[in-house]
Amino acid sequence: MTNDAELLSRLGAALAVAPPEPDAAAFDALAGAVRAKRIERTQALQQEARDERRRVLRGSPARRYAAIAAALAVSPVVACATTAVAGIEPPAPLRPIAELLGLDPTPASPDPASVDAPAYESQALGAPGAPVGGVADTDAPAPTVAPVTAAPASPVTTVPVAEHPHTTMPEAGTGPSSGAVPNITPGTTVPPTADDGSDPVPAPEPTPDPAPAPTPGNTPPTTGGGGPGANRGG
Amino acid sequence: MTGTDHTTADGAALRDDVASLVPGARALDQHAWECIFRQLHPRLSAYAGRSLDRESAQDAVSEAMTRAVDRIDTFTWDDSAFEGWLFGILRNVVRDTQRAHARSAPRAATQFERPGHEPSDGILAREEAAEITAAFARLSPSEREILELRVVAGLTADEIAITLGKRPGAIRTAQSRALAKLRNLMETTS
Repeated sequence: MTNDAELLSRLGAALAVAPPEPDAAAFDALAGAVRAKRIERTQALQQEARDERRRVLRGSPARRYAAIAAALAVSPVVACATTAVAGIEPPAPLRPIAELLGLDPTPASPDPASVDAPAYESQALGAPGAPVGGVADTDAPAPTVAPVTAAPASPVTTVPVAEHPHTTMPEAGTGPSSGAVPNITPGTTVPPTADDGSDPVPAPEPTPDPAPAPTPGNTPPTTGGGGPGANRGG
Repeated sequence: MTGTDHTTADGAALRDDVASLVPGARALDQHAWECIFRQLHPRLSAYAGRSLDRESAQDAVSEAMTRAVDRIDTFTWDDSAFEGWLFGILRNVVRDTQRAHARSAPRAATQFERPGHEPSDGILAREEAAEITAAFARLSPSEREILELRVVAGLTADEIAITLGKRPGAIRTAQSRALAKLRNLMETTS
């Protein structure tokens, strides 16, 4: 009885043959296969690089930055500078680095001058809400004080018609307030104006005059609308 | 070179040589591939020659090497895996060739010249070879394949497992059973 190793050895000797040496054609075929595989591998690498480039250009800024940083195997500062030079906006945390390096991190954004132009025009026109005070600084924070609005158009002054039949306005140039209200039609009552020139004080209701009817030719004293400071400031 | 070379120290050295060439082969170094081909050609040819005629066996070996170059990117590196992987490719090529021949005309397996059997070996050696070959022919195809890969291709059980796509333990068990059956057949014949 033989063991397995011995039996294997005897079997190998019985089955053994002396194969021929490989011929030149076999080596030529092998060399051709190696060359073809090299070409295929090179083309595959080139295609992979093209696909990767397309993916980077299609991706978001953060993805582009990550791909470039990974491809270049550089520090974040260099990668950030590279992205800025390449015209790719780096992620927000790295934008200050790009600014410190003197790079424009947002080359694709619109021109700041064109963005601010409408604000200057609004200010020049005095539109409500326009910033006031010198040349606007685009980098400065928003003002904390409420913007000064342009003065509104003067309200229409209602000149009530005197209900009292005896209340008349003096002729222009005859009274102490001549010239103060040059356009008021005679026969109407002008509300009094405060001494300090602020908002006009509402005119009091005219009080009926108990006095007897004046004699023609006499000018009665002014009663309605004749508060302190009335018709002053001419 | 015999089919049992890999059971010796020379066989182990040859396996180490092939393993050292694999990185160059993966890098598509032509010289590395030529060295691998030159070193493994006797065993590849012997294995293919068990199932194909001489010319077809040489063509199958050449085709197997070409496929190996084409698929080297799919090869998973392991010190003992390359030869099993390469013989697996050759096995598929041999099967394809056998199918193609079956559709045309059947061909006899190669009868290479047997080395190491000089006339001085005597009649006993030849009788013993005939006895064991006859018993071997009565094994099942799967048993013969495992033993051929073992003694003709010179593969280890782990490499045969890679070639056949089975677990090494299953290969060792199947090989042990095949040898026991071969031994019984030889005793019965004698």
